[in-house]
Amino acid sequence: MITVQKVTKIYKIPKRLDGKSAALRSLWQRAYDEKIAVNDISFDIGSGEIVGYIGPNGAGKSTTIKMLSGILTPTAGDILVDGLAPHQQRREHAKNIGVVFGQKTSLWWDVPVVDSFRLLKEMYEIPDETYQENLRVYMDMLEMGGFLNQPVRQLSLGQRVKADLAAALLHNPQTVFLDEPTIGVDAVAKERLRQFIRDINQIRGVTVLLTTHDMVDMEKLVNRVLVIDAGRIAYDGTIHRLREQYGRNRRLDVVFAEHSPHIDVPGLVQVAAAPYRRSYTFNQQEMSAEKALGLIMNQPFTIRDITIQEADIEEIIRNLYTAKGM
Amino acid sequence: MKCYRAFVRQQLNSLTLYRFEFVMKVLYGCIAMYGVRCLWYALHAQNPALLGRSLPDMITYAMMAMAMDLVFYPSGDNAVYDCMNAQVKSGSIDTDLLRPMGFQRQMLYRNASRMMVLSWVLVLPAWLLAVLFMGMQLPSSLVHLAAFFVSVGLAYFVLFSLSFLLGLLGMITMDIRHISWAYRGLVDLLSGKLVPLWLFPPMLMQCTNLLPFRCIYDIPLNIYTGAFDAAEIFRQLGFQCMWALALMSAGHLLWRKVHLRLTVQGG
Amino acid sequence: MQKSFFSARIYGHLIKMSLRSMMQYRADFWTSLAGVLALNGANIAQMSIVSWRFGTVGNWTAGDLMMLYGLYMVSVSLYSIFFGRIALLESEIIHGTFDKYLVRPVNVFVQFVGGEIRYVGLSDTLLGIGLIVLGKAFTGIAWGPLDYLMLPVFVACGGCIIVCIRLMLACAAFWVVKARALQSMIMQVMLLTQKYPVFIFGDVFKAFVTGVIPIAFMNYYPAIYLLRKGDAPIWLCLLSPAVALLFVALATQAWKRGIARYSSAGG
Repeated sequence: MITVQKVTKIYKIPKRLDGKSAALRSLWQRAYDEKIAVNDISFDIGSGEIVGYIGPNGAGKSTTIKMLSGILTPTAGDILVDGLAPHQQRREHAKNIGVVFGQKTSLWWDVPVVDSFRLLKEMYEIPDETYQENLRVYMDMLEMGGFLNQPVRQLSLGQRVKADLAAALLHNPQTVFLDEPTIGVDAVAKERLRQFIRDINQIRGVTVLLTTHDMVDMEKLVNRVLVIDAGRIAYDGTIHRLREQYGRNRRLDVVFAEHSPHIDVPGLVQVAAAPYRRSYTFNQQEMSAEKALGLIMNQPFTIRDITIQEADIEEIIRNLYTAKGM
Repeated sequence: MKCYRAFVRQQLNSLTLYRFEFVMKVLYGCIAMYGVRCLWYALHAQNPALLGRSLPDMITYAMMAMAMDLVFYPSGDNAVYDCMNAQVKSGSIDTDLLRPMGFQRQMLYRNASRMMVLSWVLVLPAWLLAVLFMGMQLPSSLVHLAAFFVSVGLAYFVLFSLSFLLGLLGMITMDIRHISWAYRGLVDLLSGKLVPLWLFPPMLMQCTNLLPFRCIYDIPLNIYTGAFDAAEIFRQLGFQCMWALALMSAGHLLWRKVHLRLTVQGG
Repeated sequence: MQKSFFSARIYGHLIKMSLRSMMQYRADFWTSLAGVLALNGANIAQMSIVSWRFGTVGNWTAGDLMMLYGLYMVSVSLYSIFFGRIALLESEIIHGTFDKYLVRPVNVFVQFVGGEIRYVGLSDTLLGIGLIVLGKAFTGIAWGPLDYLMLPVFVACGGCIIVCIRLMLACAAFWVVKARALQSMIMQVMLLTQKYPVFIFGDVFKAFVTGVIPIAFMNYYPAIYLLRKGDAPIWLCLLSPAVALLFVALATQAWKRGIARYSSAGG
């Protein structure tokens, strides 16, 4: 359970002094510019949700995550994560959360992964049974057996992120924050990581807040979307509602019995053609899927197979951004 | 020459970004100079005859050594051998090898341009402060001053080529961190920087006369303080020349071998 | 109280792990020992030559100087071995790797400093002990049981003081990102106290290293006490523990405020 209420974060950026002896004066004089990273945002995340936190670079995503994990203090507003204030009750709060920062490992560089895990066991005071159980399960789900005994510096990026993710979940936190964890990871490893997060969420009810630029993450993983732009929440809704509001073009793929049927379906836009196959798009805002299906079925040609795709998530996000003037 | 000027310009640009650091470095040098001055003052007070020089000459020698130290050993990561080592480890040496200029020469230009710029920014202010407030002497004549500059230039070549050779050694053995500490200790002592060479026990002094290290501090400093007459100055400059040439050639030859090894092994 | 025990336990685990990763680099230890000896060897050679030539520095004999240097080395080695990580604070803040400490339910300082035991510091300890022994032998001073008790106390307090000073300097990174130049200037001041008795640098200097940055308590005042020198009153020498405690308090404050600042400024 995450509660964010009217949270603002203002950074004071030291200004370069001008004029003579500026360098010397800068020892005692300080002039500041104010940068508002997060501006009066509020949202609630319920237990067990997987939330995708997206927005342009510099919009305030990392700042929010840092405030939620207890690294930064908000300039104004309140944050509660599972009933605790992250910064004020840092150590208790730390036991409830797991954090994975993409590109920065939190494991010890020169020692085998399993040694890092053992140390975390001590730090989080994880009972033996829980530790052994989790280790076994994660090793299996993430296929870590091959590199568990290797020092982190020898791991590939995908392996390292797996290790980091397992480490973040060793102590059974109720909430995990993932800050662009899959950046630079190859597609196969990414899918396994996604699967793992989905499973953990379903089996244990772990709440996940994930910042990402990856559209496949959005499509396959999250069930709610938070969009932040220039420090403000631009959109907050389920992925379903997002599709409804901003999804436009959906794709219809048909496999015919005839080789090259001359089909002209008014209302549908043909986008691809191959022997036996045709692909069309229709605007879901203007035409329901039922109607589109009906149009196709009314053609004289025999149909072997039909598939209707969801609107492309990337396009949906783009439509959202355009609508919000981002 | 145009190439060299480009390096210098690069250094000057980075200068403006780090003004504060340079002021601090000058102060750093001043503290070192002050410390050394106090030491010889104290020793002089005990027994002036043992000093071997007049007190003003002595403290000039010692303080000038500290001033030169500002550029000859700026911060640790400026040492040529550290730079070369870091490059090999990170792989960025490839870009250097691709450039159409000899590797030794590239290292030289890069390092020398930095030295030149730093000399004006660090050594000159420190020297000025020492002359005004700490009793440092000026060289006895313009001729001496000119000879001093020549000597410092030669000293630099000796210093550079020694560092370069050490860097090459590092490329072969892959870790010279500890050897480089020993090297620094050796140079500091045998070059006359820590203790002027004429105070050494006779046997040790014989050794240092044969080694190249005194080219770096002892010879230029003695020229500055007017310890040599004209003939002696020429002889000493010749000694420096000889070592500079020998070491630079050694560096060049050894580089060829190392280069071959690098390209064969893949680094 | 319980929190402290927990922190201590975690520190123990961190040390164990650090030692295990050090085991991989065992061969390094001997070369590093040699390197450290050589680096300090230059300083020691300088002291030896000066002592040999002049007999004494001030009224400090060669043995006295060795004791002075040895005390410094052993105190500093406490820093080098257990708290060497402090020098990396600025780098960790810049690269963002400091964040992970704030996300774990363990004391941040313990995590940060426990990350690394530097066995290289042992060379400093060995060398220091050797010099203390030699110094005592050369001066022929006789020690009673109180002196033998005071020796580790002085060393512990001296180590404490240097750790706290370096921590406070490092904490500057929480506010002013590039404090390196100022830090090296302070380091230079420390280098002077390392080798020679502080009084030769003048009263102002002495006051500074006694009252402002009290590194004189690392070697100078303990040496005066242990060698029965008259250069300072006994009560001043015995102030070491008080100074150490004071600086522990100051350093703790600096660290706490630094973390608070990091959390508000974002680092």
